[in-house]
Amino acid sequence: MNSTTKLMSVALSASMMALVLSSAALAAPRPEAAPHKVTITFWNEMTGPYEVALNRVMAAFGKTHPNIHIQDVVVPNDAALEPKLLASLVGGNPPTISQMNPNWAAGFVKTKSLVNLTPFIHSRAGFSLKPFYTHLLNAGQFNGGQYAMPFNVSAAIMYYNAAQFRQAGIKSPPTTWAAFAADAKKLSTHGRHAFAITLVHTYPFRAFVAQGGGSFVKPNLQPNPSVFRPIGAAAKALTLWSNMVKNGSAILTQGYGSQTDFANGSSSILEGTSAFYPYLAQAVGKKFPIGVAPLPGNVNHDTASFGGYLGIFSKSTPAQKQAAETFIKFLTSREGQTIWMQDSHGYLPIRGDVQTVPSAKRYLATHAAQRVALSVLGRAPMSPRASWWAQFSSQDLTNDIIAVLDKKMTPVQAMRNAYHQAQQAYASS
Amino acid sequence: MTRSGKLIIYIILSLVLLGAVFPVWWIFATSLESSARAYSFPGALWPNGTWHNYQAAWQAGPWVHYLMNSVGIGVITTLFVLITASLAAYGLVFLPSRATGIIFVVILATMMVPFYSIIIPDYLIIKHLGWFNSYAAQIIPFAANGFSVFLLMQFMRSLPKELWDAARIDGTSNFRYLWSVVLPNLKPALATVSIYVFLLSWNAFLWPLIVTQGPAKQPIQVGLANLLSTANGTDWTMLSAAAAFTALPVLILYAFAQRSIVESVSRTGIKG
Repeated sequence: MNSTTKLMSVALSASMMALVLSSAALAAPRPEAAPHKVTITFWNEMTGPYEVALNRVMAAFGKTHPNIHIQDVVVPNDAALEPKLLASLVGGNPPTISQMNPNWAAGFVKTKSLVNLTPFIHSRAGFSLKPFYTHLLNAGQFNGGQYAMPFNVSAAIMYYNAAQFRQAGIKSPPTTWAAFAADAKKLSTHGRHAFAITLVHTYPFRAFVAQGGGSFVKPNLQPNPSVFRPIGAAAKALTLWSNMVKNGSAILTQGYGSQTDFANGSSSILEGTSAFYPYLAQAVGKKFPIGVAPLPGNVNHDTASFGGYLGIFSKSTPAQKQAAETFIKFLTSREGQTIWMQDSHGYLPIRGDVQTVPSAKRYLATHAAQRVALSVLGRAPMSPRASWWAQFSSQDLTNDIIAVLDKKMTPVQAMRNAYHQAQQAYASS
Repeated sequence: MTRSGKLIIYIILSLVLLGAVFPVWWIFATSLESSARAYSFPGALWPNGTWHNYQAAWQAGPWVHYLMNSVGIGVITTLFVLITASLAAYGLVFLPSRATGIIFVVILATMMVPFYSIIIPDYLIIKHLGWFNSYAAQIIPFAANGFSVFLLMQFMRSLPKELWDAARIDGTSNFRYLWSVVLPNLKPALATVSIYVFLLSWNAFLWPLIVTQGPAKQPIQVGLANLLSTANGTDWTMLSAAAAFTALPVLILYAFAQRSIVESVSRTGIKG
């Protein structure tokens, strides 16, 4: 037998052995969990520093609920979690609980995949919804039931390079669109574009549209025609952005390039949520002081909130559902939300009563990003819970905005186009 | 060639080399940087030598386990593909029948189907087989590969017909002919298929993510993606450190197999 033949024999044997071993491993019986112990699977996107923070919250829960074992499955982002969830739903083995966007929840409710939490909330073991921010709860409500509870929420605010502002003679951050455009012009010197626009998500644009007094979705979840009109809030916001791009005071960045630009000083203003802060603080270090302020206003000073909700899948066993409800109750409780806010250094409590907790008060006094974001959370609508919104906003609307910033369309043309696409998305939803 | 001509070629080659090495150097330099300096140019290109990122990245996940998973899945998948593709290609080339043309078209058609469109059917099959969260779920669906069959067929067709005739006269069986004549003559093609399939398996992300739960059965790419918190930002220094030490096994493999990789690529015209 020559060396090649020997090698091939080994390869063949090894692969056959691998097949046999993998089959044997699959056929081996698995130990049953003790009857009193319930295991629930929890799929979430809390990676990096947020994974550490969530682990601490789960550890606090574990101390008081030793019989509930949480199998924590971390998935990198929306783009990975959504197909994973969809595949598991089609396959009939979804997790017990998952983080989700409100518009995904809309689809899951339609297919009766989610548990209505309202009966549990109103039961003796339940909890009061009074301390929660109503608009955050609303985004998780479908057919009169609370199907998804807000959990990791943040609001869009303005970060600015305080040193560059001082050098440009700007004493305080802009509070109006006019001041924002004027200050950005002053700051855009030496090849610098003051405002680095990011479109990884559409909440930055949604925040400006809200300031212009508009909302993309009507209360009945249909596209709102008034916002897309030539004099509507979307065209107004887009005109502001495109004028800033044209005069060199703003630039469209790819991915999280806006954070990079801000951290290396090539832009001076960053629109982002309070959840950016841990990353931003690390990236900026001691290079310059990071200023934090609410976004500038126009018709009003509204902004946009962004974040994840928690839902329980109806495929779970009764014991798992009960355990999952207890877990959600803890995560959204005053105690759970206080730990979450303080350990995450970026997310906001979803209930107003956390601010009355002494340790939370002390914490917020020294954490400007969360403090400022919390001050605007009450006027920061969550992304629409319409099922058509997800694809429309991430593809059609984003492409229309990019077309304007790339000078291929006017804001009016783009928003006319967007309305047509929104109607199509709504019709097919 | 004149001396100046040679000089120009060397300058061009040096620039190309610089272009190829620069991104790798940047990753390495960033991995040795503090976060704040990594966001400044050209500061990040000259690292100040902090090993903290490696320490932090190493503690962020069970990397050895991820690596072992990736290597194991990659090697076994490659072995399976070598077996299935060799047998399929042999049958199509040396044992023609009226169905050969149709089978060949069907095999080629599998290369045209986008992976996203078969995620759900594949998932359902895996679920019904009870293979959810297993290595088998990450190996078996990729144990046969249309491109590999196509590639081996092209090589098998180039073998001299006289070899086949001589084997027939000697009364050699099909398996003996495949084992003793065809495969030894196909070493460059087998090397190409191995590299292609191993890299395909090494870079797999979405499928392993969908069919696994937790790091126990997950490969390196899923572990790396968990360091990318794209909902809010990315810690590039830690990610660069993780990318650097997870790329090390592949670089070592390349260093050892460099000659056959280059040979196989140049013979087949495949560009990496």
